[in-house]
Amino acid sequence: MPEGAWARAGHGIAAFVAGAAILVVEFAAVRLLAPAFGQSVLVWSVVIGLVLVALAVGYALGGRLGERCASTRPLFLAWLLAALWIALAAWQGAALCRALLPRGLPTPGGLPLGFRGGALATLLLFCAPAMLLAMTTPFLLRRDAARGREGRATGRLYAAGTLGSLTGCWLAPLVWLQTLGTALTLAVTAAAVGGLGLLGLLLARSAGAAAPVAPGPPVPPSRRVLALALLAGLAVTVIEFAALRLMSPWFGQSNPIWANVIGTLLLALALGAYAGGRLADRWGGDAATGPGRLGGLLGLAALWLGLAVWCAPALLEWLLPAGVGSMDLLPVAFRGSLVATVLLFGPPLTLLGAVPPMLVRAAARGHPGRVAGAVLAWGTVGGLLGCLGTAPLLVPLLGSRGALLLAALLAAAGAALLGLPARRAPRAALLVGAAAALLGLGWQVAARPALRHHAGQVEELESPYQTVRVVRQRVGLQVPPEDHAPVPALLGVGGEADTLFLRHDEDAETYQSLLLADPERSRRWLTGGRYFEHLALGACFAGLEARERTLRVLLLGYAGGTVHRTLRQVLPPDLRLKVLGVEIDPGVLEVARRHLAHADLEGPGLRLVTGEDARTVVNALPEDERFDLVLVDAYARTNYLPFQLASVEFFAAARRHLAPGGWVGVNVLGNGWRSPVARAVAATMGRALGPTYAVPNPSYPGNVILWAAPGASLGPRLRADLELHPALLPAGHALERLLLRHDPARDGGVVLTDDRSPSDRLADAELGL
Amino acid sequence: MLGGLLAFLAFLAFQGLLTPAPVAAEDLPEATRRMAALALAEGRWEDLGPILGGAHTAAQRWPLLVARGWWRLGDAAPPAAPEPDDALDALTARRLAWLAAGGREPYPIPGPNEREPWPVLAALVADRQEREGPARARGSPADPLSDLAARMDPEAEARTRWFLGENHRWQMSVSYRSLPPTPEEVAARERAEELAARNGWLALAALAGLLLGVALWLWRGERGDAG
Repeated sequence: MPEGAWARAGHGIAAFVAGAAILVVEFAAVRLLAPAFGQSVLVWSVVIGLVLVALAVGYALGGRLGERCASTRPLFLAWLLAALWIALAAWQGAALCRALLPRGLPTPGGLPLGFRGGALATLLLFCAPAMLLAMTTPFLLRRDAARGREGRATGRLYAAGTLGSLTGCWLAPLVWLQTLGTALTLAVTAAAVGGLGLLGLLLARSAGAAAPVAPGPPVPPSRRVLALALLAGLAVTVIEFAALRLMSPWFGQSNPIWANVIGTLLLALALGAYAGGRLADRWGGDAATGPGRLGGLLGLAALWLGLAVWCAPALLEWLLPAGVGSMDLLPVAFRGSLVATVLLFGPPLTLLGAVPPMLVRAAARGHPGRVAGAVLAWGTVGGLLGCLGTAPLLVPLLGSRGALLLAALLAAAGAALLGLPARRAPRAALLVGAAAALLGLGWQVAARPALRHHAGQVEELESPYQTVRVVRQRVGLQVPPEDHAPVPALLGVGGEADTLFLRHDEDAETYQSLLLADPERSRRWLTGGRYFEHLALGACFAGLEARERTLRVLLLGYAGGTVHRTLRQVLPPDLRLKVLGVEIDPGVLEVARRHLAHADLEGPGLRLVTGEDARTVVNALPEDERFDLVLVDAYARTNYLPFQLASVEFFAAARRHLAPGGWVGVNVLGNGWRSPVARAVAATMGRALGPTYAVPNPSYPGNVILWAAPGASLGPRLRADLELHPALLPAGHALERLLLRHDPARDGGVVLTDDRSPSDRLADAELGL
Repeated sequence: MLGGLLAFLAFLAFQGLLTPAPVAAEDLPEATRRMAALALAEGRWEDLGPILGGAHTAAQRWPLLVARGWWRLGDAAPPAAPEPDDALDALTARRLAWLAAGGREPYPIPGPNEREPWPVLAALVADRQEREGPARARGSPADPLSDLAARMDPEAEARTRWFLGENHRWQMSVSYRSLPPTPEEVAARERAEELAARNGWLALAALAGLLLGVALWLWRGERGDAG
């Protein structure tokens, strides 16, 4: 007999906790590995991919074990083992990562720097606990499922697990990792899993309480069932990744938006699983997976998705129209993303969420646990393919719209596997949906229409990381006065110029790079008073050990090369320039070469590393490589200084590569010196490098440049023999007249470490969320 | 008679009337001093060389020495303290020693019987030391120059006072958001708040719609025929 209501409730809680724990471990894994192996798309994909493989193995194992074991004690023993493993990761994970650090800069055509180390660390630290926890749902299913009611038991447990994933998806990146840090988050998770595992052991029933195994050997699910599971899992993952990217030109990819979108999609999946399970039992057996039932649902999902993709831009533009400023955007975007996700993707995800319990109900034949394990495992394999393929391949090749249309086609293919529905309406839905998706995909590939049109937009490119846009606008800027008018020399005078901006995602005001369209103005006005000049001012500091009269610069966050260009334009005439630039997104360089005259900058004085995380490159630098300037101008997902580029450990690593007299400069975007992010970074630099100095940009008050040099007893000093470029005078004045030394006692600031860095949360709070 | 003359000379020497008087900055033409002060206030350090080209003594060339030895740095080491020189006033001598030591100690200020020859420079150096030093005693925004104002020559140009009084360093203390918003910014913010409120209600409605849709689907499915 199946378990009583209390036991079923307990199993639901166990599935919930397992789902939450798996997501927390996944996020913590990415966070733990980032300082050593970076967060490039390929490295991130291999880490999550390996965890998904472990999940698939766990699902399959859990189903088989659940059929054989009379009590739940083996499951909760597995939980204890998982807890121990997670605790070990918390204790020694960082040390293992340091031991696996890659050495030497990447070679062209080779694997990303962090690939091998990241894969090995994931295998050793996180695959085992993920596998053990994944056993939970299929293991418990047989105990919950009465014959003929396997569907609702599957739906209930699956929904509970998905809700747990939703909880983990919110708790981990937004709260725990930001406040507790990585090691403590893992430790808390280990304690929770271990504690509940102990409780489960105490409450475990004897063998007599288990449902009897059906006579005869288990019948494995048909290939059609497994193919449907794979297609559904693939479609769901493609939708999850591509939906976020489709909406990013309006809402961005900040943590709250990400958690909002993924959380809503998980909620829809959970609802679909619950409803699908109950309906599967109602429809009964093979009928559940007949063309008239599941086939119709998949056809409807394909149709909705196919139409939603084309309605999306109009809806998104209505929810978040152009003209909303960067500082006011996040509250509008947060709520708007919820609306858009529910309306555009909620129904298809709900329908796709119904697939696994229907498949289990159809194929159970007295062995629901084993079948559920197989269905979940193959669904996870589909998820793995989606995870590995969507961001790095599908979105750059087809665009996010194309990827979503492909997901619609996958749903239609799943329906086709079940045969054409007999009734007119479901048949029409399937055929129209498939046709719309196919035609739309063809047009998307051929024409590549832009997702969003900004005034003056010249090009839009969807890279593995973001949507990059080049926009040409006539804008006001600060320019050096023709005469030495005194006061305006500090701020420059107002001017106007056609400017090419390289923006990303939802950026309407900020930019990654820019170039004044007129070469002569670019030479005279540089970047019109923007922060690039304040960073490039470092080339004019005294005391740099310009060995062989060469200024060696490490530029992290190279983007389109604006800082590099400015350095070349302001370089003292007695110096040569050598730059090692690191840019994680090759798409940015691609666009810069087409529109920002990047070819002017290429040559023997420039070494560019693309596709790599800047932290990984710094870790891998040869021991004897030295730089006179280390400039950090790296931002991820518009608003965030990557935490692994703003920690004590990072600045300590940068310090090892500083030449005597060298300086580290960091661009911080936010609320000026009042920004808690700026003060946190200053406090962190102070801990690793010594006295840290903040210089505002009066022309663009959101930016602060932080400077620090080990052993410096005075603040940065310009060279006395140097005649500054006229456009650099305001930056020079700001350095000399506005610079403030960070005083930890008075100015505060959280010290950021690799383990604990609330920088994302501070940035979100500054933007009103 | 000769003895009387010698005695008179001895008396004068005793009084210090016969020792060479230090050549003070005040001995520069007024126009030169004003031009130099203006250049300092306006950050035109590179103009000090031509302006003070006619100056000969350390006291008169003091802003130039600071420009090249502390405010900005040259490749060469800071100028060494000169040999004792009867023409060097005590304040300048202290300042030269300060410069030779790297300028890490507080900037020497005039004593009770001394006069500040370069008030703008003194204010700038003291201000920069305060900002770069480990423990700052900041004045309040209402009194931007704080105690620095007390060191300034009250006869300094009005424009110089205005420039220093603006004291752009206080921009750093002012939150970007708390700067008085323009009418356009106010309108944009109100519009964003309206959009956020509207989207909030829409989000609730959409979620309710999804839940209702699933509930309806379940209800219809469970009331329908079994498969």
